[in-house]
Amino acid sequence: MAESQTSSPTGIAPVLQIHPTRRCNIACAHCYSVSGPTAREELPLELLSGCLADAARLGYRQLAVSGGEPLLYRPLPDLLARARELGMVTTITSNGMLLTARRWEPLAALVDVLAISIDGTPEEHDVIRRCDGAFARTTANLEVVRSSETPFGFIFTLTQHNADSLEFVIRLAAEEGARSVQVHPLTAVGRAAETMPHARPDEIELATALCEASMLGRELGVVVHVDAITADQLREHRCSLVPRTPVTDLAAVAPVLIVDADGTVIPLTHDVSPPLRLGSLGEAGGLATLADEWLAAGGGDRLAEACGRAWAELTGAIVPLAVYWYDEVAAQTRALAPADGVRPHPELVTTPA
Amino acid sequence: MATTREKRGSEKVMAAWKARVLTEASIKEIAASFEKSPATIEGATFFGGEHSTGLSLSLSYEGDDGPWCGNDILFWLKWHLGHGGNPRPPRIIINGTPFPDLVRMELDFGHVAEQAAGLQDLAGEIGAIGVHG
Repeated sequence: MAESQTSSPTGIAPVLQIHPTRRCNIACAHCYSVSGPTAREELPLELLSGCLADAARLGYRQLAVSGGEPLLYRPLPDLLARARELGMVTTITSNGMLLTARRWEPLAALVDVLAISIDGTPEEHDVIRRCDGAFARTTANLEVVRSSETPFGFIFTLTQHNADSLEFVIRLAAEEGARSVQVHPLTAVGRAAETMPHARPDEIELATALCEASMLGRELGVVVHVDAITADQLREHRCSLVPRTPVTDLAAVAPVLIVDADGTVIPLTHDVSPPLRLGSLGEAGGLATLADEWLAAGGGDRLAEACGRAWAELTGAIVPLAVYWYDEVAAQTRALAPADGVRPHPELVTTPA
Repeated sequence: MATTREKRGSEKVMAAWKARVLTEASIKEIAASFEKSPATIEGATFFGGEHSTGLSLSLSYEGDDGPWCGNDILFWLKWHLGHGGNPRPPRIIINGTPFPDLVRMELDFGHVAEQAAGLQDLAGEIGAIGVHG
């Protein structure tokens, strides 16, 4: 078994996160991909099929489809089926508003876990989703998912102002039969950078979320996972967080690999500095070639160096209570090199009729 | 002054926890009620450490005092109407039917859920990113 299959920073299989479309029925205030009803970017299935095959060979064992709203990507069943053929676990993240029986039935057997975004109380959810009635429509559709018996969980975006709403979301998960709640810290990327510039949660809010998650998860029997690590965990798990150099295995340094709706391939998180992106899927050879060239050019080593710097800084004289690790690594990548973006291949982006 | 929307989430969490702390007056109210009751207090457990948020009472009644059990449940209900909390239903064991010899009851007041773990107690895998990617 390849090292990357067992020693990713999370202990989970390396994840290929695909955003096949930026089309969405709503335009959320915190959307990092600037998706919305007027967005038209979409990746062709053939391109993503090749990407999946390459990713599987590189050690990625989970396909996570996000967006945009994945349910608006028409070839989604084929994409999921292809991933299953390659032995990958499949998850999709949806705002849940379009989860009608007609849309869900063709997908249910192809999805291992469905993640539905719930961002607080009905009022808070509707505000951040910028859509009146969004919460009611999403929760009204949960019965469709429950009756299919596909495991589902909630994703909650943690901001500087809403740790107190976590209790509501975890209780809702317990009442609605959701198996898990994932708490994902807001990153100041995309639309969030404009609409919520001061809402990124700091160490106190992350630590509060960790404590609330621990207590409420145990009390209510819901698995609650906060995408944050404590200072003690940082110190104890250096070997998992900072890849060894020279890096020869993409999944070892990028246990999360993102494919954006414009075809750009990004390691770890959207906020990683553009020069450290792998390039665009439209370039000759696809993902396998991009990975080889990136590693050969020292991209893996530079990312590992950023991880090392982040670790050293966070365990130095002033130790934070908790951090969102990938955000910290991304900040270090921006310090490594000047911004010089990789442009998507012009023939890649399609506009569906 | 910061509005509710501008407040940190952690401040609101803390305010909610403080609102749950049992006041001296609320504990005296409980004590006064059980002084009138023929129930024997077999045990009392406070939850929440120095700033307790809940109290669990283990009570027993002689068979003839069984009806008092209902009066104490009524007090328990009224107390929660006044003070809030997440009441768990009383646990009642009746020994002897149709004429009970002994009735045991556990009543919780306030919030008796497990206290939050300290950061140092958070176990498990490193939470860099969750299962959904």
